[in-house]
Amino acid sequence: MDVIFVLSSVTYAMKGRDLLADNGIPSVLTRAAAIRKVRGCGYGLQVRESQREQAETILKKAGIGLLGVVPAP
Amino acid sequence: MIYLDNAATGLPKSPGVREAMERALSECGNPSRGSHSLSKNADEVLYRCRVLLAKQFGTLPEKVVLTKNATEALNLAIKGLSPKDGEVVTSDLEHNAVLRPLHALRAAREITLKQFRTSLSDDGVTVENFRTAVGSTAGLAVVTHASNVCGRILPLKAMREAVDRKDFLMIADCSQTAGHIPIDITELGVDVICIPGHKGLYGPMGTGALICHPARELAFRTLMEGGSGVHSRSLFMPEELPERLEAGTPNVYGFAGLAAALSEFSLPQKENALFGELEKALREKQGIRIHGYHKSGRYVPVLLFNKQGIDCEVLAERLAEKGIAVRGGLHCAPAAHRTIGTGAIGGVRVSLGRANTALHLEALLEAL
Repeated sequence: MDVIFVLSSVTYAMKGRDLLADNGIPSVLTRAAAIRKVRGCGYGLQVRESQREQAETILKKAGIGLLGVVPAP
Repeated sequence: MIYLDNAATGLPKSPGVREAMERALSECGNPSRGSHSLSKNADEVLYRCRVLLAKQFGTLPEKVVLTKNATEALNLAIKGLSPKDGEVVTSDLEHNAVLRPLHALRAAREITLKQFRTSLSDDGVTVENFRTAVGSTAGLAVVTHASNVCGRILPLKAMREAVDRKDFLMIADCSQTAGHIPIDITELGVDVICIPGHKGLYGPMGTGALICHPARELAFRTLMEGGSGVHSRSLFMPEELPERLEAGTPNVYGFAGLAAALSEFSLPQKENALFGELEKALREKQGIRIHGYHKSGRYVPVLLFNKQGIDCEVLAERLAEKGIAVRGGLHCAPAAHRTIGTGAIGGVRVSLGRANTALHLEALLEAL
């Protein structure tokens, strides 16, 4: 089971992806339909549910705000 | 052609620029507009360029707004940050890319504008004049980092430190310094720097950037609105940088080229020595008068001169006929020419780049 972190822009999504990769957490950049429910078109990072907490901490610590977390389709 | 017009655009471009642009032409779609690989490739190109610019100028990728040139960056910064009904300060060495947006705001009665005098021989005087002009009321200053006419570098760090107010912002036009001298926006202390991608960084024309201090949250009014690929249901541009100031389809091919140039970039090592030799040789040449140069100052490799008895544009044309590219006239900076004393006659500008050699200077001197 995966979750998607909804981010404010593609720039933050890519920054977050690189940051997570640096910390050994794989993620996939996505424009999944679920993101639209949060804020119209947008970008998300799909990560494993098991790594959600660790990933969230890393992103927030870097100042990357999450607009929401939705289940991956 | 012996190219001595690097202040207009840096030539030759970095070796990797062409290949990167060609690759982007075939591999990139419209960024931030789709889930397919061509769109994502374009997103990667833009992000890579932001990361490299952020590294080069000491900020964060999300603080880098990609623009078509320094002029667009300056317009976005000036019109986006000018205090409504407030006071703005600028120098007497500015390019029209600074002066025209400021005068447009003044003509619309949105700002009052105050100009301070720079000193070409004493940075202390420049700093003091700046401090006095800003006083306790100005909300914004827009100042060139180095003159595009005479190459003089202004003491921006000391100027910013001279104004200890949290409600004061400073924008630097780094068109002539980016790529020629080290610039770290945190070290410089200013809020925004505006750069071209195609001059000292040797990227393609049609690229530039507005770069913000990493620790400062700036509330920009938008100059253009349009598609951003995110927050599509809103009728307003996103609040966050960089997307707030990037409406519409960007120049992905250009930024692919700029990223290639940045990845190959290193600060020039020989420019200053060559510039010193040029200044000395021109000074010794009969009938040549150098303008705006004082030994006490710091310079980017830009030199202005005139030859007795010949109009600057005619001289530039004659040099072009001999295969030497320089630029005559007012260099889109009539105010700076007035300051330097060449407002009525203009001058011939020689601007060096990383490919220039002593042989190029010898050819110029011979032709003169």
